[in-house]
Amino acid sequence: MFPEDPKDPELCAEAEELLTHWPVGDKSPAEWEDLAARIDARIEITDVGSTPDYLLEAPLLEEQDLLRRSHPRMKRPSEGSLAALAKASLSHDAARLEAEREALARSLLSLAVKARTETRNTESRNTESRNTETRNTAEPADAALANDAVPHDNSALLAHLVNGPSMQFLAARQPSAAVHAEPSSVVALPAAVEDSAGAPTSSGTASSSTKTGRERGTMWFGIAFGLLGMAAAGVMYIASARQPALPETAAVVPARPAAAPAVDAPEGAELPASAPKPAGPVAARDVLNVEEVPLAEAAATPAPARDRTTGARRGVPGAAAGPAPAAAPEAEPPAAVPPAAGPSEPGMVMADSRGTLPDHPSTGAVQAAVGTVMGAARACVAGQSAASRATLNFGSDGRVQSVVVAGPAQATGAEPCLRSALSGARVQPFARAGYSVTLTVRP
Amino acid sequence: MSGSDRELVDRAREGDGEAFGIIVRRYQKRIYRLAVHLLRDAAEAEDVTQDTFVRAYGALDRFDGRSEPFTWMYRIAVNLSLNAIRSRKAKRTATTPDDPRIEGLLVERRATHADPAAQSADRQMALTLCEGLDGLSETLRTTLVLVSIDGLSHADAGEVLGCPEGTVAWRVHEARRKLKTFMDDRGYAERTLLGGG
Repeated sequence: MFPEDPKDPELCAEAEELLTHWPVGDKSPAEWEDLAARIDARIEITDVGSTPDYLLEAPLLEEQDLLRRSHPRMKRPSEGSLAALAKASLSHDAARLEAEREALARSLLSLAVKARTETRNTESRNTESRNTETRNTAEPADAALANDAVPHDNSALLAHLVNGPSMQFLAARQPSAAVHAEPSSVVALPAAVEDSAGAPTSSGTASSSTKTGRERGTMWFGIAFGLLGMAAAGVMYIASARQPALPETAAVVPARPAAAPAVDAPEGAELPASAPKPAGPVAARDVLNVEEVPLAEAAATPAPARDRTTGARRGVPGAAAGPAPAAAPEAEPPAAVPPAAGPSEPGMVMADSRGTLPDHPSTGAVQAAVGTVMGAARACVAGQSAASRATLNFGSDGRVQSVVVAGPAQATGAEPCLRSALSGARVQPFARAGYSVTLTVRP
Repeated sequence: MSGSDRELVDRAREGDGEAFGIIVRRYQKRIYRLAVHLLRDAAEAEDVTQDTFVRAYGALDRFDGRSEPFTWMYRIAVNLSLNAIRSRKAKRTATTPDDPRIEGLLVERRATHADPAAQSADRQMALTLCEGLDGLSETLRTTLVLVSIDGLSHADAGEVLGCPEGTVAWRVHEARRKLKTFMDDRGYAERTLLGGG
């Protein structure tokens, strides 16, 4: 099981002996018998079937996975994600390729310096050869590369080497190293890089003519990719510019009504739509969109009043073009939101239209809910001399989870009646896990 | 006191009160020792021992016979002990000199170790060992107590804890590794005791 340490670690001999022969206890036989007799006595009054199931379940199950996960030895290489493995592989290959490329660039640099030196010597000897050089720039790259003995071909080769990607790579990676490698290349490298930037000099033309098809393909691919990226960025920018700059709290609304941007614009969108927006609020809005919308919708689902508002938000035209006063508070923080519409039932506060629930039901809502069932509750305790107390525990869905009865009605026939009657109370859903209300039920 | 555990359980299920009494007397010491090691409190261990048998009797209708009765009772004892630990108001961290585990050990060792120095060394080592055990997690400690102290096989311990044998083996290995490190750090890497019985 554990290849590196197959045997269980052993303690020192005495500790091992103690561990494996730990005495049972210091009780005398009479004490053990006394304990057994007490157990017998308890068993006599125990019913078979009285033990709860949880005592028969396996203990410590929830800790097993944590333990296995936390032990480094149990972690196998295959447990890493495929992405991590691929990344590691790529980084390894990339490092190797980079080293090879650097070595190649160094060798090309020395070759280029040698070629340029030779070219300069040739230029100083024969000024007419420059004209020949210029004419030869239009020749195919293969011809230029094939004839090394001709001085003007050295120039073309030099241009190719100096402007090639390997040289640019080396210059970008270790400019100081390139400079120190050969003093004569100090002038050559900047000039070559400048030429490669697009100046139509003779060497630049020669460079482009000697590029291989693969390099051209790479170049065109890069250009196409860049254009695509720019187009995508433009589309995204236009899309974001069309979207109204909403405050962060409004991001929980997944689909705004058509009239909402006009309402929200004065508050949240101080910048014109075409002006570039700061990155911070946009990023924050995106995060909120991802994380809060499902939560808000899930929380809002059971609320009866939410159906109406959800319908309005999801683009029902009539509802979307709601009155401006009702829509305007949406941009404010939840704490400042007044009830946007009239309550659906008397005494109940509607959940605000953005999907946030009240922390707990309002007193009015509870009174209204209790009022609907109090008549039936009083009927249960009719004839009793004193009032009873009942504690209603509301769940977050607004339903009564439990009813605890105390007082004269407790443990009488009125208790189940009270429970049944009071269980019918309903309040609106709220955010808190539970909410308790104690009532006095008078006969 | 005759009959296998299964026979006794079957008889108890049929209403034979004495049969379950035999099971009680057969396993109460081991259940008590298990509870003492898990709870480190003699009174609580005694309560858990009583409760274990009472609860086992109350669940006789759900004993399906797939496991041995004693592993079934051990499972109840472990559950009750862990419940008792978790319901404590204050977590017990330090090992006290009046630890019932050590008291029980010394009572037995007094008969074999006449030398006071050896007794003192025994006590010190037992204290250190208890500290090491107490430093283990609930899972590792429970498994080590079941396997190393109570002598259950890995299969039986797996039955009690509801996990595969391999998991039990790993836990015992891990518990022993930690315990050995703890003991080694305190000078118990080699034979250190005087005497030794």
